[in-house]
Amino acid sequence: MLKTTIKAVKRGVVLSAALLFASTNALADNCYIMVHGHGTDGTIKSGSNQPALDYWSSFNFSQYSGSSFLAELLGNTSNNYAIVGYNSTDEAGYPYWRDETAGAIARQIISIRQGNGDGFNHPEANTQCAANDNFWVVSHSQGAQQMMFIAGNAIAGSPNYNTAYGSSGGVSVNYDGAISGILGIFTLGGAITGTEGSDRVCNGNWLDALINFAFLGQDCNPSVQWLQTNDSYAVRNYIGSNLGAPIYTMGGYRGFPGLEAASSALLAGEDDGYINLASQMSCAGSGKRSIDSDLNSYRSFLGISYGSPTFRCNNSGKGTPRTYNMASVYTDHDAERNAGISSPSYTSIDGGITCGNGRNMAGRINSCL
Amino acid sequence: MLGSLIIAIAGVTLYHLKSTKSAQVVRYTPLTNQAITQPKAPSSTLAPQQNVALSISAITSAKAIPTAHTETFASPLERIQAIQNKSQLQQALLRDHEEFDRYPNYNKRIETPEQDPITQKYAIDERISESEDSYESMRLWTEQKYYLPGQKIRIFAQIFDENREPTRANFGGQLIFNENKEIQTLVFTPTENDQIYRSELTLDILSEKPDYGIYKALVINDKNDLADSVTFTLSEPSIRLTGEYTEQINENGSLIIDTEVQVSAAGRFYAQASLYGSTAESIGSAQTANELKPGKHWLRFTYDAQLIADAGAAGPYIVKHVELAKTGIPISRLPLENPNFITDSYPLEQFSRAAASTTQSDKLN
Repeated sequence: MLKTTIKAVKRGVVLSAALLFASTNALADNCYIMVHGHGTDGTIKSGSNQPALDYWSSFNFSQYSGSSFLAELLGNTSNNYAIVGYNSTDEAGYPYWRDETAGAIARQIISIRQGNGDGFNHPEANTQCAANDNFWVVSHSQGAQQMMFIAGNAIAGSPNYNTAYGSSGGVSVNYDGAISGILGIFTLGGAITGTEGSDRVCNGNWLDALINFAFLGQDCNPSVQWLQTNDSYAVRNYIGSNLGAPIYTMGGYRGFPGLEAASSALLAGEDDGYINLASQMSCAGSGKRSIDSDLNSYRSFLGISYGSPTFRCNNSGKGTPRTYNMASVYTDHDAERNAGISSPSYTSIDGGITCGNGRNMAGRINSCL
Repeated sequence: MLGSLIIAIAGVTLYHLKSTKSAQVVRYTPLTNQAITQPKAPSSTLAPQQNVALSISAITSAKAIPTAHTETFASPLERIQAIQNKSQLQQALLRDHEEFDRYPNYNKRIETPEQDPITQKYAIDERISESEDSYESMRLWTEQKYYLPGQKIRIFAQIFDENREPTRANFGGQLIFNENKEIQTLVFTPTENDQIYRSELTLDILSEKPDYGIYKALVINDKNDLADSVTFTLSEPSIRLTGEYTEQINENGSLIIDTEVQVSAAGRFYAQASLYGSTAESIGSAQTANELKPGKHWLRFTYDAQLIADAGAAGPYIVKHVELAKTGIPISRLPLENPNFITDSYPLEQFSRAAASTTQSDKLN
């Protein structure tokens, strides 16, 4: 089945025949490698039961029913995607540095890049990636933390170079092979320096069970423990001074719909209902530092910001290397992964990438590539 | 123009008719015989941001040409470079790769001292919790993030009222290890400084048979219902600097500083050192990781000539900060070392010449 190639035609019609060749050369398909977040047993691939694939259209709020991140991401292009599945459930309780998480993700990326397909049944025809595609990684929530660990240990001399951890110690994993040649990693609502939700679970004062739904469990198991905003658990302390691929961060700053909007009041600064914006954008300093939607910190009085910024989370204000601002979008943690809000507003940010302005996170990637 | 347009559309269609969407490697067919006959140029001859679409000759002579027969493809980055109208993201991506390729990946340029990755890693984890209406807040931090057994551990807390003024309160807390082992209660006493309260631990009980790892102090107060925690790591003292250093310039013109360490327990160790100019200009960091056995070893930090040349700082140079850690979970990072080792004096031109020469060599290769 042929797919419409709007982008290709747009480029083609404005070029001469000779220039077209170069453009065609550049038009290898993009392959988006999708890394899901917390609370999904992505190892299950049983017929139509594919939680890692379904993650990108699942919803916790009924108004997002029927939305699909992948549909928005691919749009009318010939691009492909590959699903990575790992077990991020509370029952498993695997932190980001485990072989069952980081190791499993890296091995699947290598296999996908070899053109072996992802082993999932795609509802869209002809969307398995090929070995000569342009590879990108798209990660949400805990998936961003995972990718930071993998990319940050893909370079020789890194503290955990090509190493994950199992129940009995270090395990060799080829992060280098997985990441080398990846063009870029997108993080959506990434728990890069944790979430205050985990703090509350582990500190024993997560009182509102209503808010504590599918994104996080009720107990401080190791996977939740290593998602706290305390710096001792932060992935940035477990990587080297360089990454194997650049990371482009997109953050959400809209609270959850309905009663669950109360969760935002429990998180410092702007947030997407579950993750502090400072963590999503990998800002230097505390993962729970208060930043506004423009990614700056201000003095405040009675809850109102004033004066010049006291901190700027621009590309020079990151807590991790090779990490860049892409967008600050008015969307919540659920809609980030199912593209449930089609045209969210946004805030201009230092160093932000403006292609795709006005679209949701999936649409922004689509527009920019 | 119309002809070009028709050819363009036909070409795009041809490409997609040939696109198999399978796991096969062969994906598309070249459009012209001229293109087919062009050999693939070595990728090393391509400058990072070379725009190969500027002319026909540039396109056909410099770029890799994928064919169904040779199964060769341009690298992903070269494909991005070849795009005529690059999006802002694609341009940013090329800039990143250009910067990334400028130095060996064990080096990291430090543009300003605030961006020193070592001091960032050791920076105090100051945690501020706000009430739901954002009017009141509690500030919590430890004096250090990494301690050795026997060191005095200090935890600080402070409350701010609705006017953002520090105010008096009673604080209490609990110290736990690894999220599940209660160690002791924490008593906070006021300091003389702006209503800051302090809890001091000697952790003598840990000195005999310490539990190395992550400790968490849970802290509450009697002014409001704000509660938070702050963590620190008790690290295993398995490696230390001896204070011995050597320096040399290698054949590529890079500055090499060898640093002696004493290892007391075998393991994999990570080390990073940041280099500064004689007038405190930040230059860059170098990292290394090694499996080491007990005994004395030399760790090598290599600073690329280009890194030093870009900083524009003449020697002597100063190894200002050193990070040492035994890797693992959790990482056993030693308290920050500030050796301030000063090198001999080197003219900046020496590194500039070496950098230019290396670049030229790369081009020739």
